[in-house]
Formats: sequence, structure tokens, C-alpha cells
Amino acid sequence: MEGYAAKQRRTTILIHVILIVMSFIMIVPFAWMILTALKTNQEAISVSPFYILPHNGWHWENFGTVWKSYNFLILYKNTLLMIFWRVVCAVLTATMAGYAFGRLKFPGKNFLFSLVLVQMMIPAQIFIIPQYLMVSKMGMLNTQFGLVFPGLVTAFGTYLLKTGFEGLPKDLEEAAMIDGCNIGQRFLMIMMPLTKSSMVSLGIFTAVFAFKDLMWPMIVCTNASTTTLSAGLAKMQGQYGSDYPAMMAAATLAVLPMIVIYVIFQKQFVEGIATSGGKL
Amino acid sequence: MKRVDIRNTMNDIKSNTRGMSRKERLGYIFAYYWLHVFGAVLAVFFIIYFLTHFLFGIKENWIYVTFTNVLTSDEGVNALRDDFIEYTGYDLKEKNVVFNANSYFDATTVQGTNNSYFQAFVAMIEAGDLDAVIGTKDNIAAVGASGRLKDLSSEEMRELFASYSDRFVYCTPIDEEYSEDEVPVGIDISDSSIVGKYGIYTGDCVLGLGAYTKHAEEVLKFLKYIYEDI
Amino acid sequence: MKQKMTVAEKREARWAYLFVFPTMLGLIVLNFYPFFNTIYQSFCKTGDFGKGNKLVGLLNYKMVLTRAETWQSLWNTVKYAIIEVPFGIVIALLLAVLLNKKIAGRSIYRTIFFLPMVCAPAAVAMVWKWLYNTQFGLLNNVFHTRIEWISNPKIAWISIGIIGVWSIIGYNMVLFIGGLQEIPGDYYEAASIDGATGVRAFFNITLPLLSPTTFFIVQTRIIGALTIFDLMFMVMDKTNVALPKVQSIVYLFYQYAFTNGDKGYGATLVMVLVAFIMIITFILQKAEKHIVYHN
Repeated sequence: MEGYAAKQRRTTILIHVILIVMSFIMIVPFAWMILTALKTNQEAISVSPFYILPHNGWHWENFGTVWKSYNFLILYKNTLLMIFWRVVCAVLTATMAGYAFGRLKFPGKNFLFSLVLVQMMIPAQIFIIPQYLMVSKMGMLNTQFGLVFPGLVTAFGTYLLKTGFEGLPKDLEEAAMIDGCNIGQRFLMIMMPLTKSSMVSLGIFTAVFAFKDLMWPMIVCTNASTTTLSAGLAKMQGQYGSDYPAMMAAATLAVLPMIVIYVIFQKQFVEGIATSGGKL
Repeated sequence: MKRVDIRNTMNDIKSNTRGMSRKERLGYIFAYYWLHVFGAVLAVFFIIYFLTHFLFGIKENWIYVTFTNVLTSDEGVNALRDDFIEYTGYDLKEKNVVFNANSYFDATTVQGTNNSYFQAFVAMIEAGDLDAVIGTKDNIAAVGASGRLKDLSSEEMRELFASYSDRFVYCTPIDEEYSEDEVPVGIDISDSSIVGKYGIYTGDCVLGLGAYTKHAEEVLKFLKYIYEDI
Repeated sequence: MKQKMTVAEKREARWAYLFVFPTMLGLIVLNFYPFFNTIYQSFCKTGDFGKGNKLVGLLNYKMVLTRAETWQSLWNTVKYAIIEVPFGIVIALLLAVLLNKKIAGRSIYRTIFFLPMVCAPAAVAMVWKWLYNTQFGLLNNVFHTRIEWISNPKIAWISIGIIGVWSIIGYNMVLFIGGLQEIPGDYYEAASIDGATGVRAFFNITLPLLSPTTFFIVQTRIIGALTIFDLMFMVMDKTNVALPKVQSIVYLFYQYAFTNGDKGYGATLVMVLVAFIMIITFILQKAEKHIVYHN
């Protein structure tokens, strides 16, 4: 028995070593971003292989300067609202459609699903102009709806949720059917809670893409009071293109709410443990 | 299976909540039908929102001008906008005046156009929303070469901008079929109040008209304004 | 011979249409209307200087299919996918499986692997430039080499592929973790009674039960990698000699449709790319039944 415990410990240590090495690789740009924010501009643009930490003191005041020169509170508010609506819309529509594609039979299913697949193949750049035209014609420029508009539905999410629903055991639903639940109730009460993990994945994806989306807010929101973090901060990049510390300080401030959201979201992963329903 | 419709549901609620106080009844409805209530409230909210928006909210533009690569602060652009509105007497309740100074790209290289600013810029031109664009001579000429600006020698434009013909900036279209000669696409405004009084640019600057603009006459007003005011 | 639908089947179909309706309506308005526009444009000489479209038939297609740059950039994109898809998936799967175990600091690791996704693109670009720089780069200075990571056409595509793998690991990992959560815990219990733990449990239980998720990631990443846009320009300048050997087909499209204003030609490039991806997707979807385990 002792040999087993020792082996177990070795495995755990090995796992930690792998994870720490990978963590280091993944965290470098993020650390770089924060370190650059603390440098002077001269330091930031100098090219040297081993010149990583700030040498002329740690300039924490860069954060303060940036915070004052931008109305971060409004930018946070706009961004979080946009993320909220995009996540709600994407998860809602994708879960419904994913359930239909994954569990129900209906004529034209293969054709409709192939449309979902084709949407992912089309380079997103061709949507820019027509979608802008639609929002412009609706008079929805500089509104929250305009920001959310391209994220109302998601082909990627539909496919993801379809995969999630397909993986669920059949007997659960059959039991509910015998109990006299109609399809809507079955979906809402039994199937949807079981795909929570897929929904969380989709939520994280949608939130990240909404947060990073730079082009769309830039097009539909030209007002400083309606735009989002990414577009608001890009203005700074254009104006003071070479002031790297300021840029990085702003980027660091922008990213903070995203990390909080992720930490909350990923906790949901742990809770959403499914069982096969007892039968194997 | 029982049909689910509003009348049946209402009857169910009535029979099940017989003898309850109003508070209890509301609690019952909320417990069993919260999703329905939530959906209905959301639907009503959106219907009202969109109705009011489409009935009262849509505003067109008097004029939309993009200032590319503005490296000074926005104050100059904002002051110019205020003064221009005062000069023309535009009613902002009726239509908007947009002076957009958040646009940074270099159309002379492929890489200089590989950013969201340029995509946004192109989208606005193709949608016909952008009326005029101001930038350096090279930048405007490069945008013009891709066919995204008005050809100022075309019939509809020639008369309108005749008095500025000595200031024309020319480009060679990428599309050889259109014309093998140089085409005027911009008006040099380096000596106007944009550079002088408002200090938005420091070097040369040129104005071009978006290829699909419907407000060429307003752009003419704008030109007159920045020259009368020196 | 088509059988008439029973009442229950009809009811099921009605529900199904209700469920897919919002998504399909959205996709048609937001994506397929623009896409049909693009198809139409690919047969046109699109208007310059505010003039309308002019139908030219298959002229654009003839030009696109006969030019070497089309095939070169398509090949570049495929090469990129060959690196990004397998490595990005295998590494992410490994990490997800490790992070699914109950180990100390799991939340912290998960958060760290998430950070690259939200990191400012400018910072990511700076780091990779700092790593890859021939003279002052970290890699060359640590290993005392003089490798031209991004300006030697023979190496550049691998360097770019590595950036791609690095950027995609976090995304794939989130999807894998989601998929792992949906594997019922009692499968493992039953397996551990049979003596299957660790690596054996991974190959006997995790891998087959995770195969739907894995297939989904493979399918979406192939599509994603083939529609890659400007990753290479994060670290490469326009003067870089290796550029023609790495630029993607979507970038070529961008160059024509956006920079040069030749939308018809750009649209044709998109059609070629979509056709290419469709063929691959069709093969994959046909193969799905044989590679994916369904319980």
C-alpha cells in the first residue's frame, strides 16, 4: 500500500511540474504587459534579450495617469453590458437550436445544420459592411443594441451545444417522456441543466470574443460615451502610438473585469458534474 | 396531452389559488410561472423599446466627416464642429453632425490598412454614410486610387467643385479600366482654418468625398466655412 | 418512398422548428444575406468611384484560379493548419485532463491558462518579437544561435505556427474542460473497480467518451485555421522576404477587397476558400460516424 501512495505522490509532483512549466509559457505576455506598464517609455522600446524588469524604478503612477485620462467607468459599463447581452443571447439561442439539432428529428435537419457549418467557413471580414449597413439603416448606431447586433446568434455555439446534447444518455429523456412531459418541459427541466458545462464554455467564449472585438464597436459607436473598452483604448494607441507604458497600463486596467468574470464562470465547471443516470 | 393555451392556464391558476389572499396568489404565480412572466415582461419591454425607437429615434446625418490620423487632442475637432454648426444653423434635433477623429490608418501600404480603423472606414464609405474624409495627401490619394472617393471630374461633381479645381489632388486608379489617366479625388486644404485656427493638422491636408455620399452640397458648405473663417 | 409522419413526429418537428427558428433567422439575416451578396459580387466587376456593379461572368474565377499567388497562399494556410490543429489540440487535451483532476491550485492554473486569451494583442506581439528577433531575440541569445526565425521562408511558417498553437491552447482547453465535465463520474468508478486507473483509464474511458468534444474541436479548429487572417503580421513587417511564403488566403482577400477596393476579385477568393473548406468538412462529417464514439 505504501508503494501505491509514493507512486501517487510522484504522479502529483509530475503533474505540478508540467502545469508550472506551461503556466510560465502562457503567462509571459501578460507579465510583460504589466511590467511594460511600469517602465518609462525609453525602457519599454529598447530591444534587449535580457532586459525585462524596469530599471529606473517602478512607475506605478502610470496607472493613475491613464485612469484619469479616460472615463473608465463608462467604458467598463458599456463593455460589461455588451458582454452580458451577447452572452445571454448567444447561450439562449444556441442552447435551443443545439437541443433541436442534437435530440429531435425533423425534416430538413441536415440541410439547416449544414447552413450552421457553412457560416463558420465564411471569413468574418465579408460581414462587416452589410452588417454595418443594416445597423445604420435601422438607426441603431451608437446604441447598445447596435453593439450586440452581430452576436445575437452563434453558429459556433449551436454546434457546440449540439455536441453537448448528443452526448447525453437517452434513458433520462425517455423516463421524462413517460411521465408526460412535453418536449419544451423536457428541454427546460431535464436536458438543459445537464449541458451546463457546454453553456459555460460558450459563455466564456462569447465573453472573450465580445471583449476583444475591436472593429465592431469602432464602427457602430463613434461616440466616446457609447463605445467599449477595446475601441476606447484603441483611440489612445492611435493618438500616442509610441507611448507603450500608457498603452499597457490601460490594457491591464481593461482586462481586470474579464479575469473576475472568468474566475466566477469557471467555478461553474466544477459544479456541473453529470451522471449517466445510474445505468451503465 | 392537454393543450397548453392561455385560457387553460388561467383556469388552472384560478382553480388552484381559490381562497388565497392576493399576496399568496402572486407568490403562487411567480413560483410556477416565473419563466412565463419573465418572458412576457422582456417581450413587452423590447416591443416598446423598438417601437419608440423606430417612430422617434432614427436620425440621419447632416454631414459626416472623418479626420484620419489626428495626432493632436480632440479639442480642435470639437471646436470646429461647434463653430460649423453655428455657421450653418443645422438643427441637431432633426439630424446629426458627426466629426469622427478616431480613425488611424495608412492607405499607402497593405499593412497600414490592416486594422479595424480601416475596416470601419471602408464600411462607412460603402454604406454611403461617410461624406468627407480628411487626411494627408498620400493617404487620400491612396484611398482614391482604390476607387472609394468621388471622381471630382465626373459630371455631377465637376460643376459643384469647379472653384476649387486649382487645388485638386490627383491619383492613378488601381483599376486601369476606369481610367488610365490621373483622376482628381481630393482638394488640398492645407491653407484653411483646419490647419490654421483649429490646429487639427500640422502639415499638408486634403479633403476627399466618399464615393457614395449623398451630401456633396453640405461638403461644399464645409469647404466654404473653413475658408471664409481664416 | 416517404412515409407519412405520425402525430407525435409532427409535434416533435413543430417544437424543433420553434427551437431552431431564432438561430436560423439570425444566421440568414446576419450572415447568409451578406454571403449571397458576396457570391453575386464574385461574378461582377464591382464599382469604382461610386459606379455600380457590372456582370462579367466567370472572368474573376479565371483570374483567381490561374494566378500562382492564390495557390501559394492557400498552401500557406494549409501548412499553418497542419501545425496549429494537431499541436493545439493535443497540448490542450493534456492540460485539460490534468486540470480536471482534484489537485491543489486548480483554479489558479485554470486562470493562468485563460490569461493569454484576454491579454492585449500589442503585448503578445511585443513578446513574440522579443523572442524571435535574430540579433536581440531571447531564443537566439539563450541558445547562441543565429536562426532567422521569421525572415527565413523555410522556418518562418513553423515560427508562425508556434504562435498559433500558443494562442489557441487556452480556447481548446476551455472546451475540453467543458467536455470532461459531461463525462459521468460513475464510469470512472466502475473502471477503477476493474483496476483501470491513470493512463489506462484515459485511453479506455476518457478518450472515447470525450471523442464528440474532440471531433467538435478538430472540426471547428480546421475551419478556424483555414480562415486565419493576420496572425503572421503580428511579428512580420511588410519588408519581410518570407512574407509571400506565409500570408494566408484571407489576407490575400483582404488585400484585394479592402486595400485595393476590388471587391469582385476578393469575393471570388472567398468562394474558392469556402469551396475548399466545404470539401474537407464534408469528408470529416462523413467520417464522424466511424471515429466518434456514441453511447
